Amino acid sequence: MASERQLAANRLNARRSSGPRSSAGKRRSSGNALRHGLSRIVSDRGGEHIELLAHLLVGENVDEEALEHARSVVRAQLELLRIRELKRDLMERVYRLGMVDPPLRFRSSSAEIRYVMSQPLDGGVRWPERVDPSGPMPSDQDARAAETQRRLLPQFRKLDRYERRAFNVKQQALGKLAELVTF
Amino acid sequence: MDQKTEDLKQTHIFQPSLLSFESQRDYRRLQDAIRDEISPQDILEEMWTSEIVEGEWEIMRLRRYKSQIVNLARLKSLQNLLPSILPDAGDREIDDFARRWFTNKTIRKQVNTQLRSIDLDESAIDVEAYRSSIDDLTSIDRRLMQLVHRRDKIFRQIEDRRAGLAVRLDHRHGGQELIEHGGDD
Repeated sequence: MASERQLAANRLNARRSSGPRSSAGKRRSSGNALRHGLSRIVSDRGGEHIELLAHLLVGENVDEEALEHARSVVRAQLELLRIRELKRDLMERVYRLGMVDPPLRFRSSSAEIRYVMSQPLDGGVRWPERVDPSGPMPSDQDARAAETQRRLLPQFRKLDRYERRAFNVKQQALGKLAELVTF
Repeated sequence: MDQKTEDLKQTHIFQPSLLSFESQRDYRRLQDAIRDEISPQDILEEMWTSEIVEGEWEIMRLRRYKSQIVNLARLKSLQNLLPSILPDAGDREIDDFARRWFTNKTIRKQVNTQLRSIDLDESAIDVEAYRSSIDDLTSIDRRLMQLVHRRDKIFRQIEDRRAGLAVRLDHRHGGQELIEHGGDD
């Protein structure tokens, strides 16, 4: 059982790590789960598809254990497809447009406020041009593709975490299924 | 297999992550070579094979991009180096020099002479380009290692399964022989 001292330390640590405190941090973290929905392992592409594909994997083997592993394989496969589709869409978009997000007029909201405050009171605000901070894309196809990948590396690092997880789930289930299903 | 299941198989299991600006022919060639090498025996091995194809395609893509990324960084590297060898040049002039270095022989010669005056040569531009893209290259290398490890693991899985099946078949076959032999006695 934890001592009084440990309990007090736990309470103190809990207070120290109780999530974001600033309103910007709270706003950002509130969207974490909604950002891409990739933390869900169960796909919403339809149970009917999962069942059909699972039966396809087990073939004539109607063993319930094999079928359960096959369902896991299919669910993980659908996750993999979803993540790869997302990566592909991002690549296509950046390859064509050079950026994921629209170009901004200001780097931060405080810079925007400063700018507005600096404008004369008698006339309307003269907004500056929108600027793409990542600069122009190369025109050569190979160079453009490489630059696309480079610009997307931070997003891909995050997506690859989910891809790795889905891949491992699929491989594990596929290994178990392979022990039960023979050709 | 009915058409619906066949369509599902094609769209949900063997869908390639090919980009619109990539060569379908090259992808097919790679796919055929890997399929010939593995000769998948059933749908499970087909899934493994398709995963290997996907991984290999991404490996080839990333290796190609790595050298391109260093090439692209050469402009920035020149922009970083030029102020040291042309201290009197303004930002615009530096930018102009850096851009024209790639196409204009005279500018190239001029910059190379300046580089030599401080005991450097063109390789200094490549070194600087490599240095400025090291974070991107590290990130790509990490992914490449992951993909290579993944491919080797799948190959082992296929081999282990085939070896396991061979042993099982061997046992079954041997057992049958024993029974037949015992019957003769």
